Amino acid sequence: MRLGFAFTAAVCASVITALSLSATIARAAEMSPALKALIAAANKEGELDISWGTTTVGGNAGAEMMEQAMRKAWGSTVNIRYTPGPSMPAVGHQIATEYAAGQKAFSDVWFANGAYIVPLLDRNIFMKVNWQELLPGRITDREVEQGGQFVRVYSGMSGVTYNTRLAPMKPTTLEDFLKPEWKGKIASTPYAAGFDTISATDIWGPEKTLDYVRKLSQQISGILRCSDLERIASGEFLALNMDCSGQDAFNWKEKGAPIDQMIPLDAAQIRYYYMSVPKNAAHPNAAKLLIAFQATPEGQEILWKTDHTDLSLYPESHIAAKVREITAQGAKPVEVSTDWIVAHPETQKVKDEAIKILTSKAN
Amino acid sequence: MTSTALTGLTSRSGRARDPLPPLMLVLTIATSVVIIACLLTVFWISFIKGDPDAAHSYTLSNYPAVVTDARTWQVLWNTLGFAVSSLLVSFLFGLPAAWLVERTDLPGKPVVFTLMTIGLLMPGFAAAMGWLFLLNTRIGLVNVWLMQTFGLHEAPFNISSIFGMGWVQGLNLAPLSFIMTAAVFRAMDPALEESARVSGASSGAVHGRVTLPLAWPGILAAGIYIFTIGFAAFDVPAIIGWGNRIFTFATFLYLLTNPQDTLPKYGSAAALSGVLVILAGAMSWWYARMQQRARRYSVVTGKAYRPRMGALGRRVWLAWGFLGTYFALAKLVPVLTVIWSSLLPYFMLPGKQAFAQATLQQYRALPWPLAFDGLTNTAILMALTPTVTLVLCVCFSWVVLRSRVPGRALFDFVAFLPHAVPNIVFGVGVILITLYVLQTVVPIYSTIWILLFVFVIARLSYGTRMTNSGLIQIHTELEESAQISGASTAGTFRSVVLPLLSPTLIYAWLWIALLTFRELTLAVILTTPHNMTLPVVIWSLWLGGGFAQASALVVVTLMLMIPLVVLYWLIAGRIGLLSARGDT
Repeated sequence: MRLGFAFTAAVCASVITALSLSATIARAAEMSPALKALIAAANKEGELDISWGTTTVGGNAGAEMMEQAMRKAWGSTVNIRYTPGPSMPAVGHQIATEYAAGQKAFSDVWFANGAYIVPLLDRNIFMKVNWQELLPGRITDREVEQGGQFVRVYSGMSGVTYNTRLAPMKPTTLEDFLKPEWKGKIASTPYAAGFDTISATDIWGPEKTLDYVRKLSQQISGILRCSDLERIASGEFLALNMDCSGQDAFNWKEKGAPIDQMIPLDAAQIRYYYMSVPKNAAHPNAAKLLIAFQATPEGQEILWKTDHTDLSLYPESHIAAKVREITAQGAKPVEVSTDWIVAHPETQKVKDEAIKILTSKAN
Repeated sequence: MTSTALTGLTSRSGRARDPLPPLMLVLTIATSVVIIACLLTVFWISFIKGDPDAAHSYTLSNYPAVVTDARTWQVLWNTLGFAVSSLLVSFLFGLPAAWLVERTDLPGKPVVFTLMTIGLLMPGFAAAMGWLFLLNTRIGLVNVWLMQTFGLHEAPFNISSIFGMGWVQGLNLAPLSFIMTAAVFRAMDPALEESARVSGASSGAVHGRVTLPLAWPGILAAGIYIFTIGFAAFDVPAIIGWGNRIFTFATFLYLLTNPQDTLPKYGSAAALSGVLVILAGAMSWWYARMQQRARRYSVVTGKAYRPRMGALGRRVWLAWGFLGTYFALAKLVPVLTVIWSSLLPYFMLPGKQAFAQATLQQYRALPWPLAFDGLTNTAILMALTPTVTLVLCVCFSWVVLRSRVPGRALFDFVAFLPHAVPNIVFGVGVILITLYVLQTVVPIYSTIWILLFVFVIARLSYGTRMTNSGLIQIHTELEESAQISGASTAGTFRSVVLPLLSPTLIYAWLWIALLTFRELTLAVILTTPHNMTLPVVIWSLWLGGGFAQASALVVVTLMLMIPLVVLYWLIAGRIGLLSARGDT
């Protein structure tokens, strides 16, 4: 009996192993040669250091999910070490400083949107990678920018996140937040998120935007990062004007927090968020592997689970429905890519000025 | 007490020189060079345009840019207000507590000493987090209760203000003002008070015309010392002020080195640091003058003369009520608030919904591998920092007090510089040195060794005060006797000096270890994912919007401190550091 049980268990284990192996073999057969080579190189590196906000790409939980999913899908043996990091621009600047000083980057991957990427383009510190050959048909020229330096990972729609229980009114426009009912109860970001885009000459323009920011500065009582939405949920601040991508609001809503997002129809924007590999990354192949995985359907599904967002360009995208909803309401969202920002240099100047205004305490 | 001839450095016996004194001199000189190099690097960077990399150019424009930037003057005003508020609050609680312990018959004095000393060890950022949840104008527990109870339209208290921040910092510093002013009251010669009483003066007249005039230089010196600490503080302004656009020098300097809109402005940061160094240097000079004056009033007669203790009578309940209120406000209430926050997905006022959502989920969701890495780094630094620091401090003290090296007083001044110069300036200096000067020769950037390097420098001033006072109390006759009997300098040091100095060294080792455990300012400037300490992990969670997780990790950190604090209490009690004079 015992022998029979042991024999049965051994057979089952062998079957399971064989099935897993065949699944891996099958997947391996689907992989491009470039991807197979990358997986081997990444496994040799063995580790990957990443640093971003605790609610960005799922933070620690998201990193664990990615690691497990990469193991299962691609046989990766890379250990991902996630550390909560400063804001996207601060991470970028630290990487640039380390590059200039000949040091390894503290994060192997930089995650940021175009507004923070463009000021660093002339520093030439990110690797140009042929992403299309890693996932042919999945990563196309549409998802890659600046000669292969940056890959679009997800889309966000900037607006205003507010506390639905404590808000004095249901806001519908950005101008609503200049009303006395909001004075002293709202926050903005230290990097003037969203205002750079709407300052483009074909949206609000620089003058109108800076005028609005000056008035907003008189209304706000604090500055928060886009990931600090617990302070909106708790009621410490009643709104974050403007937020970064809206996904944090939906994460908190799922937890039962009284939070929602208002997208201004006259200033709608689809902001792309990118991943890139610094030239001074300590584990460049592992970094490329992670970024390539983000583009797969499995990677995108993890992003949706952890961050309530994905890339609107993919057919299975959930966020694309939100884009269609806003468009149906009459908005004409601008696609904020790095090329778009380079073509609108006025947005960078406004951003710098807006940051100074928002981070100085109003008299 | 003058140093004698037989120091080993100027041997008259004609014997071969012992290696110990030259080794001590070499270590002292090397450490001094490093400290001065850090400051000179900051000075050098302040004249650089852009990045201090290979292609840099020089400019004088950083200083005018800092001086003409309106934010600099706002920051200076904020910092002064913050430091003054901190000082006033710390004296509000610390001075009366010191008086009660040293000059009255208050029962249970060792308990006060213990709680005050332990209070200094609690991380400032933990209390700041608690107070934010207590006195925020919209969600603060106290404000909401008061508004609901008394029908107020606006919150009566706002922690996110200069005075609010000063309140929290002052509560954190009250134990320091207690320890320093208790020492002042303890060192006063009670014979002068007794003479006044015998001559018919009332208690009030004695206190007003004898005690306070004798004590005020020492109290003023303590005030300057505490003001200097408040001036350079980072953790409370970072937790409370940052998000509310209230910047002090330390947080503004951090902002310049970690900006949102552009690359780090090291030139501006260095120029601002120069301004800070001048201000802090002036305060330290003033402090040293006051200390000298204070010593003149401390007449140590050698007689076992006990002062008359004021009888509290029924007022003992008032006294304990005052002390209890302080401990509740400073430690108990903020910690309980942080514990409450750690149980919720986001901060909520106590109520049905909140209790329904209270779980230990935040503890389960903590990034435990990262926390463990942070704890490991912290533990390594806790072991190494005091050890290396005290080895260097003994060298400094030996050279300053026992040698006849020309200009030895300069070494004492250099050892005190890390206190005179705000920690954050040293942090910026060290990061610039390791990034742009030493990166190919000594690649310690992003390693735990850079933290050890800067922690040791930061603790030198405290350590040398301890070893100086410890060495002063050891009469040179003991060493001379050993050397006359044929002992080498090394042997004398090992068998005579070290055993007598050991209580001081053990106490200082423990104290520095505990301060290392809670150190945030320096670690934040120098941190990368490869060398994070436990306080920095908490700070990163806080900065990343994970307040509940940050609260959970604070609770874990405080629990980890308990055995360390118990150890400290046992050792400090054994060497008599937890009792007032009246108890001995």
